[in-house]
Amino acid sequence: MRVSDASVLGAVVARLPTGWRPRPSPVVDHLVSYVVGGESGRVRRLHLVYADARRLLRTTERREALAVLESHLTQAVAEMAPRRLFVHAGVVGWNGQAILVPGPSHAGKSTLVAALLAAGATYYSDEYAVLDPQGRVHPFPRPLQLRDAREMATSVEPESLGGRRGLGPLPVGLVAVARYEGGARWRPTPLTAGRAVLELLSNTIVARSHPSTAMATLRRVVSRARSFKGRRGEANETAAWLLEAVG
Amino acid sequence: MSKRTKDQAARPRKRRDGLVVQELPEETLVYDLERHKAHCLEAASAAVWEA
Repeated sequence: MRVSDASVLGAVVARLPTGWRPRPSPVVDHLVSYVVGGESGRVRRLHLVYADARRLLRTTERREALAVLESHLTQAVAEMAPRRLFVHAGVVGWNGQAILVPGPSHAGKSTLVAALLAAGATYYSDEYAVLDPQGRVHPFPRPLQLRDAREMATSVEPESLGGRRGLGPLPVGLVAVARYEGGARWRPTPLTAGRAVLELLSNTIVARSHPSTAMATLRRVVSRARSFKGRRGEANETAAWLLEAVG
Repeated sequence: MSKRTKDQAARPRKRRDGLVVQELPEETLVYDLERHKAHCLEAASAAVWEA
């Protein structure tokens, strides 16, 4: 990661992926560059974000540049992690097992995770299930990103919702494909192990580039888990059902 | 060409290349590397596919 203006380093560092460490070597696998824009007299320079030589964004808004930077860095880690499989999912812990809620952005994962934390679950992630080759899920402890009615995201620490952070890996006890739909009631149908793998695979970052590895890991995930799919309405109702189901 | 050979020629052929196959206890998962599409075959479908 490099920037053209040291004054933004604090804001950039705050958006680096969880667990980042400085490296002394200038040789890197992937180079992300932020050319800082702004106004100088009558000249207005754009904010530019690059991934290696590819330009990701040019914008007048610093906030937008930082958001794209953060999103890209997280995605890059998910794609390049050698021993972990990243699946788009909300994750909480409950009684020694993990509940996975796979789904794309804007599917309501964070809202449901927040309701689960308020009901006493332990926080693992509202964005990625980070799976090891044994199919256990590890914490991805960035703050929750809760959106308001205007789709503006706010970072919320899990402790402020009554939740605690999970520390170690957990086996997956429940997979719940729960797509939000206003007014819907949560009446899920069971998924077979194979169908559950397909649902998880459709939310897996490297599904296309490493399908064999992904399917082997996901098979281990579902071998110990019960899986369900349905439309959900109010998050608290669904959260209570999920906690009851995992026991 | 014998009748048997004609019947065999009319059968769809099982693809063997460009697939990732994972066996589950009661299902078979098949990932098509060309189309990037995954399929879940229950036992009867898997038996037809294997035949």
